[in-house]
Amino acid sequence: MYRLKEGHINSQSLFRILVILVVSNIFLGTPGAMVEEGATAGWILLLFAGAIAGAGIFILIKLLKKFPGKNFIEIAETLWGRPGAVFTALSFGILAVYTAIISLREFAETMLTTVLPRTPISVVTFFFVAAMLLGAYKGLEVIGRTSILLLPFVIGGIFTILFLAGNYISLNNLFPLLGTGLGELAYHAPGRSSIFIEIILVSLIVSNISDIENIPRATWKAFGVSLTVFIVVEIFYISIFRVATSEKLYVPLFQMARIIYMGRFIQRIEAIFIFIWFFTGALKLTLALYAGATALSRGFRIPIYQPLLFPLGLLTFSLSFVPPDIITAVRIDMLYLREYGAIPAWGLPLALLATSFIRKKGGGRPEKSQPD
Amino acid sequence: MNKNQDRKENNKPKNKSKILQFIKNLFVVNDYVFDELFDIDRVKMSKKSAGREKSSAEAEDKGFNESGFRQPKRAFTVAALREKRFKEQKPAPRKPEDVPVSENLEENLMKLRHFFRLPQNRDIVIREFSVPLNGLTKAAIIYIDGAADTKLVDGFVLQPLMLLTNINKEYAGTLFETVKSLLVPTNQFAEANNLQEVIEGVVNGDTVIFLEKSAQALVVETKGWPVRSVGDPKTEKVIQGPSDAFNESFRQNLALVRKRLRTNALVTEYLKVGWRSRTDLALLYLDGVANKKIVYEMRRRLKSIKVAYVTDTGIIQQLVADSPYSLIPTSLATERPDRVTAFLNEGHIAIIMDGSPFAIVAPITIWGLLHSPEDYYLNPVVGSFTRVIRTLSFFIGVITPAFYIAITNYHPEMIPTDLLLAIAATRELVPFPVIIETLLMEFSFELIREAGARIPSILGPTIGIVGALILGQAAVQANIVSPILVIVVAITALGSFTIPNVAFSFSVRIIRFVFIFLAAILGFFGIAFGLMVLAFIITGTKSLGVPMLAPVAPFRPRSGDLVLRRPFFSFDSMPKYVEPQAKHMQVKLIRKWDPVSRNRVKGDW
Repeated sequence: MYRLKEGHINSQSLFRILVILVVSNIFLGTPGAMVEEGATAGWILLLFAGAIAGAGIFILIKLLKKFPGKNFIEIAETLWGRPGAVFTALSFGILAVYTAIISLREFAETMLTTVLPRTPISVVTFFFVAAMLLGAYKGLEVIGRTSILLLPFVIGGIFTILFLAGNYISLNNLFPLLGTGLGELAYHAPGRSSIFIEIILVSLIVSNISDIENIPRATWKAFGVSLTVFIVVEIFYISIFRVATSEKLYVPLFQMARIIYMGRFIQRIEAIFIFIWFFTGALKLTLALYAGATALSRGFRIPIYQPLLFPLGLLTFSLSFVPPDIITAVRIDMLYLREYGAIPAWGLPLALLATSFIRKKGGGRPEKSQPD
Repeated sequence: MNKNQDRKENNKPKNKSKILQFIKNLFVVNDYVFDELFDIDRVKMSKKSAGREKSSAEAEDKGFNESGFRQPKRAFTVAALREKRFKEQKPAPRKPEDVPVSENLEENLMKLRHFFRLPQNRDIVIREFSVPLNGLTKAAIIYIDGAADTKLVDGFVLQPLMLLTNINKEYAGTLFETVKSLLVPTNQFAEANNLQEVIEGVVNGDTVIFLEKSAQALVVETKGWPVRSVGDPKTEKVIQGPSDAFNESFRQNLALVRKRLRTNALVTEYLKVGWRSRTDLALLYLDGVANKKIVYEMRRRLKSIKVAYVTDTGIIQQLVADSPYSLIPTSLATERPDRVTAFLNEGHIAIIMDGSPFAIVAPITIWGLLHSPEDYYLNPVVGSFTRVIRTLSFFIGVITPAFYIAITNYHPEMIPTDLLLAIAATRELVPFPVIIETLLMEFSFELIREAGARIPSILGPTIGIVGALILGQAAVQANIVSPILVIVVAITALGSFTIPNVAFSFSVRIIRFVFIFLAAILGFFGIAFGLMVLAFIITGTKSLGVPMLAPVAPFRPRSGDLVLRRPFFSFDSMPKYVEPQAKHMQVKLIRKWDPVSRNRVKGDW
């Protein structure tokens, strides 16, 4: 029988997986939402949100260091017992699948509105789901390697768009510098730190990483890189489109690609960027599905996660049609997932860490590291 | 008693026995069974004679028992049937490995005639003669005409045994020992103790000597198979670099490798594959360089092959592949000894098989499939340039037609207006949609390629005329296809032919059709989907446990030998992804006289 392995990745792959996960938010409505709440200070709002997310990641890493080699669900089981493990796995799984559903709808709608206006959404969704099922079935090793392979194209693509659209920049658009004001920014920052919640994936796959000692470094690096890319894109976005337009636009990078005009020969090359959109979207969805299946299989002690993939994939496929239109889907994403997602994402590690301090548990030896 | 019997017989209704007889006749299978079931009298009789088994056994031959009744036939019970079958079974033909070489020469020859199906088998030669030692000792040789070199047999086996024995009358122990040590002046021989060893020797082209009164035979190396001489590589030609290639001769191929790697660390393990063909196969690796696990794994896979015969290393490739259905080849077939030695030097392993002009190299990465030996023989800049061209050609071969379809069908806004108008003008008269047009041309091109490969070389130029004139010129003039598409198909063809590995080039052409369909359905989105799936598949493919995209994904320290090639003097470390035992390929400072090189190493040497 074909042996189903979960596989191991190294911290290099982890870094790239996390970057892809966070950067994928740039392609959707997040930059627009930033402008809505921070106006010209959208990028400063990102800094604030980043600070809070950084605190969350700090707690997460503290927790992972306290229980070396153990993943989130195992830690929850140690501290809270079986019910705690099941609760954690369920919250993790639901969060992952929820992310997958909303992102699937958003990415599919992006494809429709940008390049395939006359294609039924179910066809596009079907191909996304097919890609994510294949990737998730192949396992973390393959997802990690594919991320390594594709990340340069994704980041390169983003910066190509910024560079080519750069001649529309007007720095005046960035002023007034503080936008809606520091109070407003601080008020919105905790909710907007949800754009980094994908980083908690590291707590789930920690037992699949061959060099555990490098995990904190890779996580911080990924956080730093993705925050930087986010801020650069946000600054370009605001300075190119102005606040009034930026609030309204749904897919900022696509709009930037549309306005590119480098002489008569290089113009309207947005179709090329379908590739980076799809690569990022499909990888994010694959990882979300993988995370959901893995969390559930670990929480319920199912030895392999692969049997869960098809049901979860089907669920994602079906539920992605629930929002009646793209506006609703974006609203669900921005008002629920990216507003309250932070609560379980940073709250659970904090609760676990607090419990471990109270009950004075922890330690344990790391498992023997395995080669990738 | 008599009265009782009479009464019983009278009581028995006559029609009952008739019915029984009728039933019996219906099932004339085994009368004994029916007798026992239905004929009560006879059952009684047999019970009576139960005590006298000896006499009844004697009477069995006659068919009657002593009571005068006919002895029933033997019961066909399961046990009896088994016993009968066991008795009827002929003694199993003895296997040659169970038959020892006899001291009796005639007996040996008789058995060998049996095993070799003589006299039907006409190319087995058995030559009987006498050796003038110990008076006249009978002897015989056996070999296969054509497999053994008759000059060797005459000059180094028959001549010394028949003639030189008259010159030298000295003995060295027994007669067999004497022949072995004094009278067979050949470099390789073996002693055979059973007929399997004899047969093995004979079918491998050796000559076997039998002597009267000696329970051993001497297998003398006289192999003289017809072989081709070392020629040019057919598929991997280079402009600068060696141009000798493997051929079908096992020993010559090994010698070509040995010639280039004159080290005692080069190990050639011999194995046999195919229980009928018994094909020789050698597993080559550099001890102390190649990873032991990889060697062990390949040896395990080769030993576990249980097939009747193999004809080429291509079959071995499929039998030992990690994923046999993978379109990406997971081992490299090469006919260049210099390539094999270069890979061995980097800690890979190679397989050479008798009868195949292609050696297998494993593990292999996708970069290895895109390399050509010439990259190393030329200047690093030139080498890197050709590699970049080849890597691009992979993408050109896979997605150019798909890209054309996607742009013309889904994203015409991408094309600058002038070009768009030009394309539209050429397509104006073409009646087909782009996808049909493209498939038509791609399919025709595949036909030309396949015909070109099969056509006898004397008719070769025909293909050029058919291809260029009819499919190119005429199809465009007849407005079947647009001229731009001809350019697209031509570029694609060039792209796929630029890939140096034949198997990989085939894969590219098949993958291209998948992309054409995806582009026709969904435009760029379809191509992106295809690329994503391709990435998932390639990153998941492994060659002997080594990921196909190894030093890139998963990330490993590189030796500067992927798409861009560093200068040869900076190949310090071995490729890490095969995890070789040796750490360094060469010393760090090769160009000691060169101050620039010395700066590079900074006194680290």
